[in-house]
Amino acid sequence: MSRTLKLIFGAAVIEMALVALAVFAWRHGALALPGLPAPGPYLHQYGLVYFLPPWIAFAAIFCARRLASDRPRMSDSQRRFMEGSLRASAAISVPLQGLIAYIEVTGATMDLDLIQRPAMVCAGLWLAFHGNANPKLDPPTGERAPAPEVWTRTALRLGWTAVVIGLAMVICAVTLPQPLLPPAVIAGLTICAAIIGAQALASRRSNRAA
Amino acid sequence: MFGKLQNMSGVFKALSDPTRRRVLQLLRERPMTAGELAAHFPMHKATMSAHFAVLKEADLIAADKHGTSITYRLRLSVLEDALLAFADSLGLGFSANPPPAAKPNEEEC
Repeated sequence: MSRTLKLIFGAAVIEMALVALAVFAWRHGALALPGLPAPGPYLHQYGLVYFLPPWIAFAAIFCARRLASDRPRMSDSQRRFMEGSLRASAAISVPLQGLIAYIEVTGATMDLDLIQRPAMVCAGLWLAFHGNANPKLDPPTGERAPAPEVWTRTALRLGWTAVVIGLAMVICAVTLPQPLLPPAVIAGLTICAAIIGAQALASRRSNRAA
Repeated sequence: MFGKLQNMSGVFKALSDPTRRRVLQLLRERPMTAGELAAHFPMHKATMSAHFAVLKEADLIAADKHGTSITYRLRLSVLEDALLAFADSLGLGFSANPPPAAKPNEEEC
């Protein structure tokens, strides 16, 4: 991972962690913010304020280890794609967390539906974009790298899965009633994670057998 | 933006020919040299080179040079894979004219 990207991520994670700590302290009376109303009822949407910092930190650590690993060695196009995705995810997560924290702290009467649906559309498009573009990247090389044809077929299979689930999330975001939105997101992401995990396990087993 | 439109135009052109679509299906099995691919088609090597050039320009295949031979491998996005399946299902291009012969300095088969 480039030094610039490490700095960007470090700054983003620290900022988001401080925001989460400040909101937590305010909600439990440890931090007084003059001019603001008392904490209102906790809504489950506020959980994003606390979820995003460790999620982004985990993504950064995972990607940094993957970029540094030579077993197998990522191609240049894979590296550029991953680094671009990381920058974009930091650029989206910081203002999103800030907006949710603002709503919680100020008690602004904002229709959270106006946040949930666009967020779900963005998540679905993100998934579809990654699924579409990943098979076009050059395959990894070196030790423990799969055969190029295996990599291509696997990437296409996973890509199709991500595109279908991503587009399904977009359709659900536009058509489903509000109470069904969180379960739809959880279901979609769980299915995607399960398929990717199963495929990664199968690839590791076939590499070990080879 | 204009570059992306040009690229999509190249993709449609590449997928409009059944021979090129068959090349992509063969490359799905494994990367192949130009000679191995050409052996599947009753065509002159120069004609096959022209097909490879169209596919390479559309960024649907990548060429890796090993000594004097060139190995082609597949480079399809999901959208391009869907377009390939769509073109195949419609049987596009079965009455299309063959492409022009390749220039003399194209890679050898």
